Amino acid sequence: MRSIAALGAAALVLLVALPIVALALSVSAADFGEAVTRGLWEALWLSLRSTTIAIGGLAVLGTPLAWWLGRERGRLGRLVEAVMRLPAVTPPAVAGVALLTAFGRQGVFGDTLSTLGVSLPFTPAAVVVAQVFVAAPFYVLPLASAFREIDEDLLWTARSLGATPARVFFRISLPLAMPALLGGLAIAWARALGEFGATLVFAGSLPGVTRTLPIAIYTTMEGDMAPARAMSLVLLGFALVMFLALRSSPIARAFGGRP
Amino acid sequence: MTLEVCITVERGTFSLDVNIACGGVTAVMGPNGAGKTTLLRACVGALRPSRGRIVLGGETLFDERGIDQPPEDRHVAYVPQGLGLFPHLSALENVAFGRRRGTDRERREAAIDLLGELDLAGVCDRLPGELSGGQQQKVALARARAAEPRLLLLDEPLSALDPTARPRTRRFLAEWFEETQLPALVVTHDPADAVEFAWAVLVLEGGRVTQHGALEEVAVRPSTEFVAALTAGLIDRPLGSVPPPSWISEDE
Repeated sequence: MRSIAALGAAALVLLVALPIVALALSVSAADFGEAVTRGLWEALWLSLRSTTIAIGGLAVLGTPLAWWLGRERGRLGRLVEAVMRLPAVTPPAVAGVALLTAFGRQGVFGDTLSTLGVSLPFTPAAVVVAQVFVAAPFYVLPLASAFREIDEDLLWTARSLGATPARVFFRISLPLAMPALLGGLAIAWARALGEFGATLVFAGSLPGVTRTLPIAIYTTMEGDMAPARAMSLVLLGFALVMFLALRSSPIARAFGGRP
Repeated sequence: MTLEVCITVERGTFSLDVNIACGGVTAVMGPNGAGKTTLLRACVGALRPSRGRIVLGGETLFDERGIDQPPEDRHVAYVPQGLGLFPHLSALENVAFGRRRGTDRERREAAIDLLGELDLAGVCDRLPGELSGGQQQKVALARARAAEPRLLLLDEPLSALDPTARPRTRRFLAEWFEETQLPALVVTHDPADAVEFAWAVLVLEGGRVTQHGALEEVAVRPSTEFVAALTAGLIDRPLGSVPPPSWISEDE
């Protein structure tokens, strides 16, 4: 019984590890050269810009929301939390169709947006919107539960010692939630960087405009597999480096947390 | 300085009704769920009474007719159950956090002085989790004092200590109260605490005050079975060391 379980566990580990190893071993320098001619740098640059804006926006908009969710115990809080959880279970293609249905030129809010002079679909802004949509739950929900776990007495004690609510937030709540905040940012960023389905449907695949690296991999693959593999390896490398950097303790300490 | 609390707090099916005036150190006693912590939280401003008023030394902290000072303006230092030390700040940073006035440097220097007075100069840079129970206790007290409060609210200050450390810390608290001369409400389950440092006892049962008075008086004439059980055996103890509750003569 135990050996069967061990065998299954080993199979699962191999299932995850082997494709990564195979990818790393199969790429040659010539493949990189080919990938560069197929727009590797352009796509990578777009991916880095759009995910930076998306994650920055998510941090600015999502942190107050997470704080509110962490304190609100009523029905409204639970409803908002359920809404914020939706993108995590929405298939990306569905998310793209939904975004197009809402904000497309013929969409429900398309007229409102166009009177404001805004046209989202098939623009770099649409890439960012799609990334924020799919990444939001991975940042907001863990941060909300981290805020919720902070002992309320700590916050009242801080207030009684003369600290304003803003000072309590920045000196007590935020540092205590910092590990969850950085972990959430790392996961959300990885999710945004890998975003494919919603971006393709809502933003399309215009080179230099909306063709992010995951979409470039897909379009390149239709012609030639080798440069697509090189692009994949670059994307994987960036994802790993950023992920590890955000989870590392020096950065956490720099922001006031003690992981 | 006298604290007058005349409030009704409603929390679901529970209601707390209190109408008291007290000065000096008052031990707040009563069974679990009697409303002891609720009373402290109302005084600190963590929850809003549905009726009444709270007046400290002539200044209204809360009045149902439109006064509700935020906790940071009340000058009431709260030491909750579990002490409420900020786990990510060092002992020194915890105490400096309580300091209201001065530059960062002045706050730190004041904190070093306060910690030094309590023989904690050597552990300034440790996190609360790296301190013993007694040391954490002292850091919490130093921090409360750093804020220069007009009233102290302590919720079971000795409960986190192991029984062998209690008598020493209890004496320390008594001396500390004597030195600071601040009015205090101290929630406790242990009559020995009241004997050691309280001038008066306030007994809450089911959200009502069942007895409030000088320790001797409460011990000699208990008004309920709970108070009788609580104070049984106390009369044999030397009560002469307990100062008389001066606020009683002031108020009446």
